[in-house]
Amino acid sequence: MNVLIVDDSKAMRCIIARALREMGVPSPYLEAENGRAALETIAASGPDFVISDLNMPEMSGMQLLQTLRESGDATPFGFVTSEASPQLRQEAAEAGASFVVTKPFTAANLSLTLGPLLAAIGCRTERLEADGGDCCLDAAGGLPKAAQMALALSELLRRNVVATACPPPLLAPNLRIVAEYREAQDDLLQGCAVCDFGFGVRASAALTVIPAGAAEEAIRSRQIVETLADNLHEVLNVMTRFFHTGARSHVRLGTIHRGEKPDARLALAMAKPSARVDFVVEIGGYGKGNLSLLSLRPGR
Amino acid sequence: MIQDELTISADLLEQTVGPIFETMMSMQVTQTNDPWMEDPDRVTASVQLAGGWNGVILLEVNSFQACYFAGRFMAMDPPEALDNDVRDVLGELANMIGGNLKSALVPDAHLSIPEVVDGVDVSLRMCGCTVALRQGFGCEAGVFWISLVQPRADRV
Repeated sequence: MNVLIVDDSKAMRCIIARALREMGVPSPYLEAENGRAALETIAASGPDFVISDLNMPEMSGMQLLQTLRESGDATPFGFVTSEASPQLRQEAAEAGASFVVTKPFTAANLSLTLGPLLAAIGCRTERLEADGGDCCLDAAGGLPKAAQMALALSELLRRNVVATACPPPLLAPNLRIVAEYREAQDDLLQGCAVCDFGFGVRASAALTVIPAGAAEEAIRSRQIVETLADNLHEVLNVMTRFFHTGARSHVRLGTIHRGEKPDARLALAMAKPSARVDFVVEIGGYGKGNLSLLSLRPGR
Repeated sequence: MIQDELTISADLLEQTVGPIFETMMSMQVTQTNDPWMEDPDRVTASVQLAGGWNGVILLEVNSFQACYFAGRFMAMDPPEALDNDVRDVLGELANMIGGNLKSALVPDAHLSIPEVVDGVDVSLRMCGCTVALRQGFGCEAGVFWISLVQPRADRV
């Protein structure tokens, strides 16, 4: 496996390499200390994928990605950064990044994010084999198990999150939030996340430590203010990783329907998902809510 | 929109700093009430934010803590003296603290590359600025400091 790690901090390059080793990704790994040096390494060595810092001297990670894509280079590329705001995630996705991992991160978090990508590019690591070969992909398709959902959310929210599998909940359209996930290239619907206001608002509040009382008020009034809406986008954006179809695919978060009835086509697809997982999610200090992920790709 | 002053509590700072130390170094940190004092053995890592809020975030440690943190961060024995690896780790810690605060509070600001200043005969002065928050944190390596420095109201 030819992985290029780009970071101006030698310490971070070591940490990322260590995490990849813990995941069982075969070494050696290539290293570059800024975007300009990375371009030379990519031209010389053609890595299988690139993990890059964002904020670097000489050439930033974003400039590196844009330069690669403008030259027609489609090497899978992701960021490891300490400043992963919703705006930045959006910018990264639009530029063609496959993932954004927020610092600080654990090997488990990196594994969860990189797992589908590694599986798609044919990296059969020891750890992936031990996990059943598909890392975070379960038999139902690409949808996560309860523990994987809990890990994804606890890493994002930086607090204890417990997810428990449950039967599909009955949620009236005006009491639920539905997020669409679409393939960026052809805009095809890949799946959706459905949650009640309880989960959506509590998770959004927990993201930037908005007091739990304010979250409860927002749930009662079903009024999601701008800050919570931004945070909700960020929370739902974390789920995109569960809808990836391959190394070259890029799934993006599409429309978020908050308490509105989805259009007939989406409603029809949601009625017959090819796979689904349903969870009760308890967020430490904030409370419980329902969250379901539905795979809407035919033939999965 | 530019915020003149960033409102941040010691609790929010702890909620930002705690997970970074826990995740990257398996270290628990808690707020302390220890008074800040000048220290000739100080190593300061800083990042600047500009745009949505203008200011500087400082991580102040002593040389023992700097080496100790580097050892924990890199999962190796602590270096015996300050070297570029130690400075690199401190810069990265400041970068993570600044980046996480930026994402939570002022996502439209720009984050600078971290800087690290050390030495026995060094003074750090940020002209026209005031310390908006200075908070001590206790950990197994002693007390270290995180400060938010921003332009004085009459300089905004």
